[in-house]
Amino acid sequence: MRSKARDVSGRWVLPPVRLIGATALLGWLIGSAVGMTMASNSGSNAGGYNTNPHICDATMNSQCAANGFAHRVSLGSLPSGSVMRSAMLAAMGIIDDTMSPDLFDVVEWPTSSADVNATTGNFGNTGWWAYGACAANATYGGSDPLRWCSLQIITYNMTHPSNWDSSTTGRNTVACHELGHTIGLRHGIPDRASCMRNAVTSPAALHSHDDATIANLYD
Amino acid sequence: MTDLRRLTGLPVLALTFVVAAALATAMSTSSPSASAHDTSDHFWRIVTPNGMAAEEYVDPAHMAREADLVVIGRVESVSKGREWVAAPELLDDPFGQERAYARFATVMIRVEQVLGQTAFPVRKGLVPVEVFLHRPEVLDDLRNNVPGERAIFALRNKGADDSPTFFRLVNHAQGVIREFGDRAHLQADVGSGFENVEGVGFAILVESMRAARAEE
Repeated sequence: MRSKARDVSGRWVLPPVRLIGATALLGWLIGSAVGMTMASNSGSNAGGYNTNPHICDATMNSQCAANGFAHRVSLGSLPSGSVMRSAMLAAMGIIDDTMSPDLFDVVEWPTSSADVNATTGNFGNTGWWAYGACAANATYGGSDPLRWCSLQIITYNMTHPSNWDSSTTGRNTVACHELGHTIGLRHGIPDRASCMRNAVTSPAALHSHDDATIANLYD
Repeated sequence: MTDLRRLTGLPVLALTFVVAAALATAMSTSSPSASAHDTSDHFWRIVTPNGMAAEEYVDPAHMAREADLVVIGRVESVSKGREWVAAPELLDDPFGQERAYARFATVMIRVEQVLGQTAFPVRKGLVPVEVFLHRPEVLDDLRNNVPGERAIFALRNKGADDSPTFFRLVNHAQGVIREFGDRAHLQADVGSGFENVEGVGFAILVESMRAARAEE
């Protein structure tokens, strides 16, 4: 009878330890899931899945937001006719079209006044396919979670054996991922079909969760 | 007089649930606090890119099986490494110039134990590991923050297409697991299969990775 919350006289009695433990476990599991779902996955100095927060600064893993809703992207440093120019144009279209109605206007822009500049190079077997960082002479503004830097530079490593560029999908996914970082998107959880997963096998598309968190961030 | 047991029963269960859920939610969304391993965290963080990694592993055992070389050792020195022009077209580009060069620091690892190796024997107890410098001044930052603790290093040889002399971490975040107070300490941006490794006994982790390697 100890397993019942009330005894025969109708008074509250202590539940068994195992029941308390099971309840705690259930609460923990639900809380963990809620925490993961609630994680903003967007903004400056904001962690994403498997990624802790890093301030928006001059380091190689800084996390910044976009400098306004007009996201001006320069392709001027990409070789003419290069595969990455095509991939960047595709990624710009993804963000321009997928985000909540007209939240971002992603446009190709002259390098001299752009917010983002895309570059490629042969950096050898580095262990990374691409990364984004603030330029050395970047301007900083705003405050968390909307602290930004401009110019942001995306760098693609075209060296074999980091041959992620062997397919259009792979290139577009990496471009979508890096450009997503520049508007403040952080890494997404594996079961969401989004380029913000940290894997080249992810689709070259954004998930509705990406859209929702970004809309919440900038609204 | 109030019967104490009237405050227990279902209210206890409800309170237990709420507290557990609140704690778990907070832990899922919070950032880590400062700690004694800040210098080492800084050292590895400034060479970890915010971008897409070429390799990612589901857990330490998987990483141990796939790496070219898995060793326990310490960082002995940091020196200026190789440098070349990676993007000639950017040399005269005022907005991309800083990305024209590939620059590296050589982090020399003094090896204490080899947990596994694939055709890359360790010579003279030292392994040269290259880390990428996105700006030249990062080299001084590394030199000023050389970590002293033991660590497991999971390494990839850079290969004949690059340089077989050098290794890199298989994954910038996952590839170095450090020992503090007999416990394993990982970098922040590890995969989900690594999260439970934080704080486990370092010796236990070493043996599990050695065993995983032996199962190959």
